[in-house]
Amino acid sequence: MSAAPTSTFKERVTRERAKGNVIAAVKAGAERMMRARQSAWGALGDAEVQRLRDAAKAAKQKAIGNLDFYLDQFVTQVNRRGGKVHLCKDSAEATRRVTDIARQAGAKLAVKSKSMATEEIHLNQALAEGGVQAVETDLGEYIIQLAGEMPSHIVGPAIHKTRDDVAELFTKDAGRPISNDPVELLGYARARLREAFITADIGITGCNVAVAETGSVCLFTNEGNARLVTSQPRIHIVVVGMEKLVATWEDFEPIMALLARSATGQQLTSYCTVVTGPRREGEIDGPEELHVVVLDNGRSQLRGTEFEEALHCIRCASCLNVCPVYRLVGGHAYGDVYSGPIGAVLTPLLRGMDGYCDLPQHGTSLCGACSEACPVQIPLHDLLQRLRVRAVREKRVPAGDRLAMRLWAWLWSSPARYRLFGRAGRWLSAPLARNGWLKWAPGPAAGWTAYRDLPAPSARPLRDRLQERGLGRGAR
Amino acid sequence: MELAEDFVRQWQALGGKATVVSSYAEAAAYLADMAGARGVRTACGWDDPVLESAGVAGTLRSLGVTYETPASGLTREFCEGATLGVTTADVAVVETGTLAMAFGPGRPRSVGLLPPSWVAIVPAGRLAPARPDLIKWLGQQVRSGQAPAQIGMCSGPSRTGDIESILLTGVHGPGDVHAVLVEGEA
Repeated sequence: MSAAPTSTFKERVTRERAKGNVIAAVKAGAERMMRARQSAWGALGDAEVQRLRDAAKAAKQKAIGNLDFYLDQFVTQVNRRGGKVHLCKDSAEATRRVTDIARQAGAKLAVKSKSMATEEIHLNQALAEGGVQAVETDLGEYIIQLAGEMPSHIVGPAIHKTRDDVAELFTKDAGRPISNDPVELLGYARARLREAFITADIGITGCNVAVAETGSVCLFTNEGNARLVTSQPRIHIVVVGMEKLVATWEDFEPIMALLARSATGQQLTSYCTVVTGPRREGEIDGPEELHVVVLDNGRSQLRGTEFEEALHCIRCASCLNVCPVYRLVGGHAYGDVYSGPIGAVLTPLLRGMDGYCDLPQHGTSLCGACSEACPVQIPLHDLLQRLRVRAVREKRVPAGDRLAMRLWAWLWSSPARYRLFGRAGRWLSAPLARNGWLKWAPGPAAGWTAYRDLPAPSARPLRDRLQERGLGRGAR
Repeated sequence: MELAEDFVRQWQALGGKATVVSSYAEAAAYLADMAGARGVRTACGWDDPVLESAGVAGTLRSLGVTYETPASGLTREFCEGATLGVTTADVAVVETGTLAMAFGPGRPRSVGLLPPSWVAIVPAGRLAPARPDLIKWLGQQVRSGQAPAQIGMCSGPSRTGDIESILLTGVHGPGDVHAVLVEGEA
């Protein structure tokens, strides 16, 4: 499936910013989750948080740095315990594999617990085309499935929906009025989805962490839907990005300690489930077949490059919650399943610079809040800046902009030209200044002055003032 | 016993109900009380020495509850129709308020999951202070030759914040969860 978007980031931002309620909900949700993480990290104390972050980073470096080895080990271990692993190069191969498994099983209904990887490969659509109805069981995912939308946040996919929105969706789904009382909404979803859990032929999950040492798949939820999806249907399919691996249970520990704390501020989610193989002889529930679909889809190409650390992501959304851009535009502005800083890094890398290089170019102010918040210490703002460099090298910047940058570099590379530039700026802006502020400026500066006043250049530059005090050039 | 009281506090803070009792007989009494209060008619449980010691089957059946375990032919469908599930736990971690369970033959995944109420009767000897203890137990389980096909680590009731970040419990898993810690037992 071609991933090129039909709109630019700026167009999507304009469209999303017009949805005042949505933006307010996104900002409030992100703020709440950010404070929850800060509180949880605070409770651990700086030293312990740093120790865990260092351990988590080391765990991911080890796994990604030796991914072939650990993938091999993972496959061997899953096979040993009676499961099957399917290594899939891209979306097409992965969806084909899943629909094949479904067809061989004569499946008609699949229940899914939350998986960004399945969103990435548009699995539900492929299943539908193959005659299998896929029902999302995570409440947020169920809501957006009914709405026909993409998730707007990695952890809270329906963060942008109000209770009225949800009531409307459920009323339409039920064919009878459902009020906007959250408890009634919950009751409806629980009953509706319970039916699906019990009768489904296939359970599909993602995977928060895969442990190579024992071929185990770890799932964290608060709702319990992953436990239902992995205990009721006859077949369990895991769809997991290859980068979700860690080598050992020792490596799992810091990630287990940080993931829930960073995503929601909890010590642990209500349910942490570890799946190692299909059901054992004598069990009355659990899947008879376990299939693990390991997805590449552009990830392996990042190894050994300056972008390799993007593969360390544990999908906690800490970076989204602190990002001033995300909080102002919401997840849908990013145009693909991953949003926020990690989305602005991964989307151009996995889907192609062609459609998405404007995410790092226009979707970040490089403030670095994301890198500070990341539990595994991915230098997100560095990666965003490197993507900009790559965009320039690949000439994905308009010729006029490139020329302007070269001109600017030339002007500022000599002290005399720099001073001339400063004097010209003062002369040109003097007529536009009101009380020391520029409320409007022409050309590229108009983009700034549309939302902010620009301080007018001072009549007496710092250089002159220092000179007066004997501190400038030539001062002893 | 301090660890037990600390666990109770943590489990309650997470939205669960918990109590410390001094004998299996008291645990059975607690079970009878809560089942009576909720009008339980059908219940499911594990085949496990702890439940046997607590006389769970006898207690519930004497209340007129239809109670099944795998040994008496328990099925998934029966669990779905039940309003109460009874299990034990293999380790109870105080710091995180976690009950960890290795599922397997005789210990179905569905028992503490499908019914809206869940009671875990846990000998106090299985209490452990902190997360590293949980990881140690987990590592031992999955590294063994007989690794369980599924391990469940449960820290409170089923919950969500997906609608306007409002905290709601009892989404898919049980909302009414009880930890009964039995002092003096391992």
